[in-house]
Amino acid sequence: MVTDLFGALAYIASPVPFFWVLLGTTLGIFVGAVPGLTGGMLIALSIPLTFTMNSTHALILMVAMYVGSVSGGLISATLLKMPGTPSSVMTTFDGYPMAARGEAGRALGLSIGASLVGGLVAGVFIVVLSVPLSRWATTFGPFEYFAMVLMALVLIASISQGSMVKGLLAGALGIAFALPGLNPSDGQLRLTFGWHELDAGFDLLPVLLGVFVMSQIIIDALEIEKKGQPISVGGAKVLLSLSTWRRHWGNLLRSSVIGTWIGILPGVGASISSMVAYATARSVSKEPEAFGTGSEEGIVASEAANNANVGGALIPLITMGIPGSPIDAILLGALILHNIQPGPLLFVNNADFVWALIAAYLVANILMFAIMTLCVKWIARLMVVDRALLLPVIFVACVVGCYALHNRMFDVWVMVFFGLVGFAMARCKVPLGPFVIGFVLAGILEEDLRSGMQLSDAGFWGILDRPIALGFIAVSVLTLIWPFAQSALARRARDRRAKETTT
Amino acid sequence: MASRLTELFGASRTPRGDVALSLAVLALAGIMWWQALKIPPPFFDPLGSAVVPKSVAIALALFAAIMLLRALNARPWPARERETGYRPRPDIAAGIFLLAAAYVGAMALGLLSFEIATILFLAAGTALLARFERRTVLLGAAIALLLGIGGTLLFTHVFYIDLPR
Repeated sequence: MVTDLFGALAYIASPVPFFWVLLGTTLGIFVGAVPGLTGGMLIALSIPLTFTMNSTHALILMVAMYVGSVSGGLISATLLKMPGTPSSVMTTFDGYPMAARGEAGRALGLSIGASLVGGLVAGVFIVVLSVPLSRWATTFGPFEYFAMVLMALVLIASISQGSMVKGLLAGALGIAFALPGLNPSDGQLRLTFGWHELDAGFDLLPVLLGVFVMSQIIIDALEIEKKGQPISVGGAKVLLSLSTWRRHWGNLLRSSVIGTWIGILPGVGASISSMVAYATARSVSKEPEAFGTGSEEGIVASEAANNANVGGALIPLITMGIPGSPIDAILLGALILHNIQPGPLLFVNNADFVWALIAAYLVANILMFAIMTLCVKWIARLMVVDRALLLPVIFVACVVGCYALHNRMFDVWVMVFFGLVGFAMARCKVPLGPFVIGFVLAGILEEDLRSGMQLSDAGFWGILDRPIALGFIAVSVLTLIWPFAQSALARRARDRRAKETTT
Repeated sequence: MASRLTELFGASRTPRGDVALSLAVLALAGIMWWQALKIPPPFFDPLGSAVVPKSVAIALALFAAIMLLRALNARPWPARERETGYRPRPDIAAGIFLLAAAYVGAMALGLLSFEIATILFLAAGTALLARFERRTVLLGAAIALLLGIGGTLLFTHVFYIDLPR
């Protein structure tokens, strides 16, 4: 394991891979720093540009973009009170008040340092957990894999932000849109409405570009008048002393572990990690009243957790082919487009590739720290870039990316259609994460169910002989009924209290 | 009964949008079910091609019905939330979407080449998003020319993409 890791680190340190990691991290930071542009947007847009690239280079570029974009969001969250990425929303609560009282440099320093620690702690978890988890996953049969994907979808839908029903609806919609086309098992066309362009179904790239990029363009156009006045960093020192970090080490470690752990849960994005870490830090703090007014602990908790989430979310992706977050769903799509089969066998068949991704993740975190520490003052100027100039160019890039896929305009129309779908979902507060993950995992779900039924004499009920699969299904059922059980228990307790008061 | 359902499923915080969304999803579920009925039964495959679409259609209809119920439970509906700090511009959002659709449509119908369509779209899109502010419109026009011509050369001669002509 250690030899593999050092081998991969040496590979990433060689000029070409290092260039891609550096480029990806830098672009990610830039995009993360501009409110309205997101890491998902950048990575989805980059996929068509990487078609001609070596697949390892393409994926390390995207992993570096992921790390950079989650970190870049802290700059606008701190200086503009507008989270550059959704995961930085908790940083605005304390980063901005701290910057507003003249401590912008210290707020940024804390955020950048916490991001590095969060990223590296999650890196340790990836290195330690990936090999045993992927070995365990290789023992799975089709029923186990089916049940695991089902559990992932239920978890994604239940834990993602907003109401549980909307999360489940989003997941089901994702599966629904993945169904049209030829069913490879029996050669039947379904849900194509006699439209031959749909025979191969909706391609992943136009769907991703539609829901992540086109919909964001419409949202940005709607909010085009939303502007902020950034606080200047001036000549403030961003690199903080070791004594500052010694004071925060407990919070750093706790928030990083929370971020990693939540990241491992499928589909739960970095924003929830930072919310949970922030709430935990406040509950154990000696000065909980300072949270929301420029508390250093709040900044550290939020940023350590959201960066740790990136690493945590990579674990199920590389070990089992289950995306840990919406951006991981894009990475999963990129793996498929680069002809790399995701799943438990990824580690067995492409160990060097997986170690290269892990090494790229670690190096990207270190580069992120260096770039942000040295250049934060200049990157901060990007926040006020005019979106009127950017958005049309981004749309043209989407059009070219979709068209280049099969040289047909149908894919471009698909992107435009899913842009509208994504926009409508965002307006109705239906989370996009479960939708994308449902779309990506639908094929695997159906295929494994079919294989399991073919392998068992008892058909579907053969699942009853598979304890691991049953365990996954039990978790899914518990996740689904827990909110109802919780409200029933609360109601009973309330009734009992009311009765006691009356007597 | 109504209070029991409210307690079980809760009430929506975005009822207007939820009603529209749930009706659209119910329609989609109906179409899926209708299309799935047309799929012939399987010969050898234990699952067949119709089971998953039918199951998903049922799930969609169920979730949409719960969403509708949550929206109805929220009556009387609260006043629409107003954004604070900035004025939302649905006109510009609709404008940019229509412009994008026109850009794609013009190329799909063969009315304009990629180069010309891109120059026009970039210039018009920037002008619209900049609310026709003179300086940005001029800058946008210059960028449109640069990217329209340069982009076409880049994509056709470097990436070898056969763009619409």
